[in-house]
Amino acid sequence: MSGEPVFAALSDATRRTLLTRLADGGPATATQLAAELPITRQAVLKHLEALRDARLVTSARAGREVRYTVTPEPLADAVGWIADVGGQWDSRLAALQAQFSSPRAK
Amino acid sequence: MELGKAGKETVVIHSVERDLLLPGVEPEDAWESVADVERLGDWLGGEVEMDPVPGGDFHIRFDGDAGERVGFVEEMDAEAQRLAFWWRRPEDDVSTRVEISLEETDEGTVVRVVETSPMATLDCIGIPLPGFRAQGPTALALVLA
Repeated sequence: MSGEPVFAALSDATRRTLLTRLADGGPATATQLAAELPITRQAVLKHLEALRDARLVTSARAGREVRYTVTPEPLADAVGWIADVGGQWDSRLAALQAQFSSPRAK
Repeated sequence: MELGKAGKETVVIHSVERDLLLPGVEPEDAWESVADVERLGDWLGGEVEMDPVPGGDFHIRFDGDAGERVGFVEEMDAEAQRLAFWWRRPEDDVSTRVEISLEETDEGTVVRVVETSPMATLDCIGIPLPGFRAQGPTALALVLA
């Protein structure tokens, strides 16, 4: 399997958020994730499907719901790194944009 | 992603890339935000000290209690409008490489940032991967390599 689906899956900020949540907080169902994050359950399911296609998460039935887990462990580290570093650059570039969107302060 | 496959996938997943379009901004003006340490620190989120020559010291103390990073400048090319440096937390022994470059487009200047883990970088430029300690993000690279 090529790295492309992984790259595509990680290119979306919402999916990185979901992955970070699953990596940090452990396995969760779509309903739990939708309750914790400002995303509808339907959107959560769509993103989880993309993540599962890229094999960044696995799913297992738990009663009437499906529980999602980041897998495997080493990948969780890499995903965490991508999500952390990506999030940091998102904030920094927003700050850079602010340097140019307001009248030049400096 | 199959663990056990060769390092190419490491390149893909161990790199973060971001583009920001600054509409109507000339590259020369955007470059000021990279070359001027005060403006650079302003958007990186801390106070930057940098000796802008290859091998020169790079240091940033982040605002608040977000800690600091130490490292060195790989390249500061005013003509190509590209800055590359390596940084790490003082308590870590693995650095990552940051490259900030500008591209002029019809709509304005695009600022591109790429942060790459050392394993991916070494792999990219053809240096055989050493036996890194299995720790943090390098663990995956070790498995993949």
